[in-house]
Amino acid sequence: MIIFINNETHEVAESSTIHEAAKMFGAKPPYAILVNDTFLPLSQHNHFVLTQDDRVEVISAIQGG
Amino acid sequence: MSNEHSSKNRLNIYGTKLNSRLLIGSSMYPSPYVMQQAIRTSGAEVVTLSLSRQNPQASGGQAFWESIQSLGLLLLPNTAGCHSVNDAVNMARMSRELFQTDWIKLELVGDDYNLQPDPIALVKAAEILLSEGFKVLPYCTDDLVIARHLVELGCEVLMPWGSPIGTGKGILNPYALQALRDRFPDVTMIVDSGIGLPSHASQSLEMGMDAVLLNTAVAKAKDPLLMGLAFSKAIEAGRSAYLAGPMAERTAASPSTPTIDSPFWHQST
Repeated sequence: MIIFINNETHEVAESSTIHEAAKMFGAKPPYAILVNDTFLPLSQHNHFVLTQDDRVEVISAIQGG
Repeated sequence: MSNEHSSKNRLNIYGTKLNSRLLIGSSMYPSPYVMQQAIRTSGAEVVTLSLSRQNPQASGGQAFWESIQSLGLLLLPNTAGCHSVNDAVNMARMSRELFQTDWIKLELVGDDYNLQPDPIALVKAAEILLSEGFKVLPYCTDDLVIARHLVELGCEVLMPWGSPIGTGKGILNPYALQALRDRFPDVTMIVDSGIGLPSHASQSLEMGMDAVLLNTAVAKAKDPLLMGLAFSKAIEAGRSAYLAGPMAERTAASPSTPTIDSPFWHQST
């Protein structure tokens, strides 16, 4: 199925979890996850099952003022 | 003479006591090395940072994170770039998980021209985050009534602007900032944004503000390390001046040299 990670399309297996999708994406810890504009706590990364067209954001630290 | 690091002279952020009254940003330095050194010379104990989409192919993000961690300072994540309550709340939640802190510098852009905070969204987001246990440091204008709403919600810190972010114009409305200081004497007041020169920082502290937060003024200086040191000294001077109690300003001149028994007294016309 197709999902979006950081605004780019990616193909993942049906019933993939967030953890699996982030691993496929190559996400480097530490990172936080948004799914469909909602924060998903780390404790749920292994349990949240993605569906077609879900929008995932992999977020990490940058410089800030 | 008061002790520089006495309890009275320490900055209080939601119960955390700090010796330095400078909070500093981590952005726009010429290199990670300069960033580290400039932050160190500034003496700041709190450094701000933010969040962005991760690009696994670029190593910059990971290097930045390791660089910040090596400083061993307290982290103050911001919600820069957020235009909606939902975005800001989500960003705060992600920051808490990533950086293991309840502190959040709450920024909500209301206008892209001057990056002026959206006061209505700010109050709404602050209410949600405070209810979730965040220690909210709201970036606000110098509007007294919005400040009152934030304080009544439970914000123990306010971060009013001196002038718009990145302008370096200093304190454009000292009257409004003084009003905030006078009306909320027990709230920790940090002038955030617009500080361009050490004299602006010193002025803030002389007015009784508790601290300043800045980034561009140091990062974009020709010599960021030296500027970091200059700000450190200016802030210390400003705070000492505030504690010392400045003289009252006068309209008419008043001789500082005693004139009694002056042999030339009243000779000139």
